[in-house]
Amino acid sequence: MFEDLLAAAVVVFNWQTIAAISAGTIAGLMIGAIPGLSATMGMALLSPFTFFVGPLIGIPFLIGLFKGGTFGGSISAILIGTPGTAANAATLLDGYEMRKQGKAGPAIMGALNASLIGDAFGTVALIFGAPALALIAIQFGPHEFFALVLFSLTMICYVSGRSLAKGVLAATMGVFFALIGTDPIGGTPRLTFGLRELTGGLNVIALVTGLFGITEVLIQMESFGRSRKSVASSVNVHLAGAGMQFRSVVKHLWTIVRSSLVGTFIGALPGIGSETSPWVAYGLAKRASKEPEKFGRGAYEGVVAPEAANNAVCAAAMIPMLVFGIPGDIVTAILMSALIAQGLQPGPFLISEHRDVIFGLFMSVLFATVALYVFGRLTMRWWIRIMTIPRPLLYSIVVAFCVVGTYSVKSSSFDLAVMFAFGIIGYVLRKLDIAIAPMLLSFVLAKILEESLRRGLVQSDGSILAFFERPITAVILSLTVLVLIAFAVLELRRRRTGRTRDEAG
Amino acid sequence: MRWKLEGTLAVAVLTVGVLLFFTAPNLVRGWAFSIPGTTDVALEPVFFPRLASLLLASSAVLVLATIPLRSGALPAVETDSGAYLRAGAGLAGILVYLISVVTFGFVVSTVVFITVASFIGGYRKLAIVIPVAIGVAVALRLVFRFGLHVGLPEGLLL
Repeated sequence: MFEDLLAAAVVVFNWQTIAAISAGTIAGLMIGAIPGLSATMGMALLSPFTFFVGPLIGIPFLIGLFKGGTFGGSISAILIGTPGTAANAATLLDGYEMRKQGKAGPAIMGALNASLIGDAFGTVALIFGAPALALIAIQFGPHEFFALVLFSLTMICYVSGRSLAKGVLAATMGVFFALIGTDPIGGTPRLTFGLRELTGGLNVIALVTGLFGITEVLIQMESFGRSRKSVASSVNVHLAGAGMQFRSVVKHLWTIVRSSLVGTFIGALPGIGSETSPWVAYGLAKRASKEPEKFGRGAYEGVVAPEAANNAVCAAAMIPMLVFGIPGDIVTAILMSALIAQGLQPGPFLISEHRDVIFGLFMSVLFATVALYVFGRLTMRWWIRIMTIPRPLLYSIVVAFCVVGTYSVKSSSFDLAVMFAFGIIGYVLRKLDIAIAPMLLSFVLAKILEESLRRGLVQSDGSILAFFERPITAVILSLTVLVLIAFAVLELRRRRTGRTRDEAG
Repeated sequence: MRWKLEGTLAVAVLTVGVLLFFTAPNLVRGWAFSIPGTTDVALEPVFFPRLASLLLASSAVLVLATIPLRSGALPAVETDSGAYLRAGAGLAGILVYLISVVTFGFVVSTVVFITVASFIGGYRKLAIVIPVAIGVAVALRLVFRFGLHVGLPEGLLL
């Protein structure tokens, strides 16, 4: 394995891959720093660019983008109290308070240091965990895959936002959209409504670009022309104290390590990703702190804990995607489609069949960690200026990117219509406070679920019992039931706590 | 107000689900597929569309049923009708842009769209907007044409 890594390092250490990682990281930092533009949206907009270059150029670019975008979101969260991405929402609580106390520099640098350590944890887990897990995954048949996807689908309840019912509604809509196309077993066209363009199913890039790109543009357009508090004035801060902060890192090392482990573990679970782990890490940090009352009032730990966790997710979320072909979150779903476009089908045999490419990607993930720190440190002051770009200009350019990104995949005007339609759907869902993540995740997972269920039934002559008789399947299905019970208990406890608070207050 | 909108969406989804359930056999085109050992065992092609329609309908009912439970906690819906008007106008602008990209070509349409959208959006420094619009459109065109060897819509103009 170490020989593979060394050989991969030699392959990856060329100017094209390094330039791709650097460009991706800088683009990610920029996109993440601008409120409204997220790493997810950046991946959706820019992933089509990678379809036409080699896998060790295109995918490293996206990895850099993902990592850069995840950290970049903390800059706007700290400076203007608006998280660049949902993954940085927890950072806002204490980061913005620190900025108000004149500690913007230490807050951003703390976030960067924590991101670096979290990132390193996730990367190590990916490099050593994925090949080991692939050895187990090779034994997986359709029955096991069905159970695993079912498990992932139940995890959607954790990304459903404030209402499980609405999350379920979004998820079932995703299932419906996934069925449009061709029957995976019989090859029968279904739900195509007579449109030839739908025979191949809905283009995932058009769907993602519509749901994230066009929707966000429409949300932003609502406030165009309104008098807004000048962003330029609110980011006019000096980053005094933005030194290396080694002492602070050492002082809060256990918090950072614990949060990194939390992020790595949650990221590696299929179905939930960077939006959940920062909150869990924040909660644990608060519980473990000697001064919990400082949380929410500018606690340094309140910044480093979520940042370590959300960056640890970046690499860890690639584990289920690469090994099982099951994306951990929306970003890895986009990454998966980029891999497929490169002719690399994620799954148990990916590592054994494309060992050189996959280990090259592992090394790219490692390089991207270094690039994140270097560019994050060097370019910190740029992104403060970037936030002052006039929104009408910025978002009209985003629409142009949406168009080229969607059109270029298949040179299809129909895909532009799909993107537009999903832009409207996404807008309606956002206005009604319905989470979009369950829709997209179920869109990706439903296809795998159906195919594995039906292949499993073919193998077992139509017997559904085969799904419960195999040991791995039985374990995963039991875990699924446990997850559902745990969610129900947590939900009940949360409501009870809320009711008690209401009665008390 | 919010519960009305949620209810409307849920009823719409419920209607689609019910309609889909009954029309699913007509929407699965085909050749009455039945290859021995495949589709006859692995469920009929219409099974999953029907299942999806049932799931749609049930989740819509779930949303409807839980509205009273959530109504106290529902956040206030945006009441600024101007915001919706602006979003609607933006939507119309994007639609016109998409049509013009296919009809007139990417470069010209993009330059016009970025300029007009920025202007209407409230940023009116044309000395900045126009060069940026031209730069973005031409750069994207060149990157895709010569860098990635992928065509963008050319239409009647460019």
